[in-house]
Amino acid sequence: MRILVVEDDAVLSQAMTRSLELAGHRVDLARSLDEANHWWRVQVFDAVLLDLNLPLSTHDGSGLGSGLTVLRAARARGDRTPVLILTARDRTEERIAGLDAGADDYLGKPFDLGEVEARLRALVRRASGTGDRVEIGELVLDRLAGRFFLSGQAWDLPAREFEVLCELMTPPGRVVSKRDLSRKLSDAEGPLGDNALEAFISRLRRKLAGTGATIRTLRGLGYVVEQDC
Amino acid sequence: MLTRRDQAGAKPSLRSRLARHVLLPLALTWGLGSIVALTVAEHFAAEAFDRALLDDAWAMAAHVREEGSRLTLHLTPQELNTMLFDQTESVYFAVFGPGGTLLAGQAGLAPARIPEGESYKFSEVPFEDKLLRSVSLRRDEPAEFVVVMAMTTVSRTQLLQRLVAYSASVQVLLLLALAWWLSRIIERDLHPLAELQHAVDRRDAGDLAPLPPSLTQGATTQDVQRLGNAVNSLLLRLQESLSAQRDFAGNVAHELRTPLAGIRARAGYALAQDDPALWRAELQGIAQAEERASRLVDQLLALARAAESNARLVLEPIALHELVREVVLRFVPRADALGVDLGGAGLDEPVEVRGDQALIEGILNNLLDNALRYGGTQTPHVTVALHREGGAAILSVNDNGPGLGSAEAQRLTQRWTQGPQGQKLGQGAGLGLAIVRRYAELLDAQFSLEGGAQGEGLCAKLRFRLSQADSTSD
Repeated sequence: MRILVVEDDAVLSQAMTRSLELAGHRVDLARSLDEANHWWRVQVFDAVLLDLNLPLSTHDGSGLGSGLTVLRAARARGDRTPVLILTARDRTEERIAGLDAGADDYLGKPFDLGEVEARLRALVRRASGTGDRVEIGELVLDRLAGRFFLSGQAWDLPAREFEVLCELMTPPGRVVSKRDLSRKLSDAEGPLGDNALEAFISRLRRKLAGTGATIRTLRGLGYVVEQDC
Repeated sequence: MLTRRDQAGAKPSLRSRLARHVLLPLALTWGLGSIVALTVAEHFAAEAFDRALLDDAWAMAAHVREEGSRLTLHLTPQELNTMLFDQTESVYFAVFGPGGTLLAGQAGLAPARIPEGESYKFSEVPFEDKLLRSVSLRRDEPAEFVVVMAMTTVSRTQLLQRLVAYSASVQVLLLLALAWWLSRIIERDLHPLAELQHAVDRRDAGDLAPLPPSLTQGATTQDVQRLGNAVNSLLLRLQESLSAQRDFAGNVAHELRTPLAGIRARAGYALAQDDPALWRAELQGIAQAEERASRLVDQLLALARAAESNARLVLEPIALHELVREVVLRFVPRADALGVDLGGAGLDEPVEVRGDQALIEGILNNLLDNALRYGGTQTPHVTVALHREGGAAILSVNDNGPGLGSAEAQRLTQRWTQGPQGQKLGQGAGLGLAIVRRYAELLDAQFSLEGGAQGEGLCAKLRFRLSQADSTSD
């Protein structure tokens, strides 16, 4: 999954990034409201972890603002990305304000990283309408374990291919457009090129041959994981 | 509620209103003109009478002489009678010497005050219960004296009365004649209108034949001709819509009868057999026939709805690329079942247009339905493409089927027309493209059917105007 972490505390953000990446997610870090706004606009995320007390901009002490403004702006754009608020401000009224601003869940600091991941999984389950474990043919994605299984055996994939297949399995049978895929996989150099994307897809196809799961191309519409028949 | 007669009674006829509007100002003008003319005539008549009176006063003054130190009037009674003679009026005179002593004539005729620098003055004087017109003339030779001449005004009053009587009576007669003529001529001019009204009144509700030519092309005035033509074109439109409705009803009956007959035949056949496998096959056939009938009813309803929503549609910004993608994805299972390669082009690029989601979906449903039905060849493929062209978004559904001639393409967008392909396949009712055309009209989009890009197949094209935000962001 691609996750945006909005957190200005260096120690905490580092810990969260490391733990999420270890679980197989791709993490983008925003340390101010400006950065969060920017990332949220240019990139498609599966979930956003949002701190509330944030500097307005990354440079020098330009004052503090509330993460809720970023959230409200995104919701106003029609963005439905699941949002989990992580903050030390967890009085009841503040929770209500956060949820009303469009957040999907609320977690008070200090928190356990395991709980953050569990809640993330719950958010994604809710957003995509799938369970933690999805399968097609002999291919199984276990979100709890953060890995694929093929014919009962753990199946390790290079990071990019893992991301592509993960996207296609959330939920399985969803047609994912090339544009969405390449934006999801974008890095500092911009969206993933069509050729690179097709290369990942064809590599995955080769590896999936004979497993009962296959990646089908819908001309001009995108890719979909289907049961082989 | 008012009946038509009541309403007619409460309102003036066009004829009487026109007559009133012409005659009232005419009578007023005549009245004002008469008053002015009489005033002027009276003024000049009075002036003539006054001048004669002054002449008499001068003649009288010429006979005043100085004898010794006294002034006397040198006139014999004979001469005086001649001088004062008048056929109709009584004339009186008086001559006053210096100090106001009466030299001759009636003492009761008091002289008027003559302003300094002038020698005479006209005035009205009362005398023996009568009001007389008089002139006072002052002379300084041989000594200062004043002559007063006065006369009754019987003849000048008579003259004025005669003037009024002659001019007014003749003019009133003329005015009456004019009113009579005007009302006749107005009635005659308005007659074609009454005729038109009669013609429309008498019309049977079912008779939509055009009006007689005397009321339209042969009309004597432009206005009646226009009115007649307008009524005729309304009749023509009514006739067209009526015959369209008749066709429609007839076709509905016909189209529904076909699937119903199929259902009956299959049911009858199945009932005569004992084999459950055969029952199953027949039931499947019945389900298909029912599906066709339902589809037909849906399309009819859609068309009726499109006609209804004519004026009420509010267009909203729509992310066309997302909507099109959703609809196309919905058709993927059906395309798979039919072995059609269904694909998209340009659906990743955001395009925003002003439209209505339900109508755009309806259009795409119909076009994709058609393409999947009729677009088939050995390796059928259907592509839904979206691209920008100038300030417009072009949405097209292309297939590689047998395609159409342009004349046939034109005809197919009419209701109830099916290409030979459709008749051969016996599917659909020929309503789809008519619905698409109607929806496109409602969406302010242009719809056209063209040959496919590579000279094969059919390309159904819709040209949407980009929404304001989208076209300015370019």
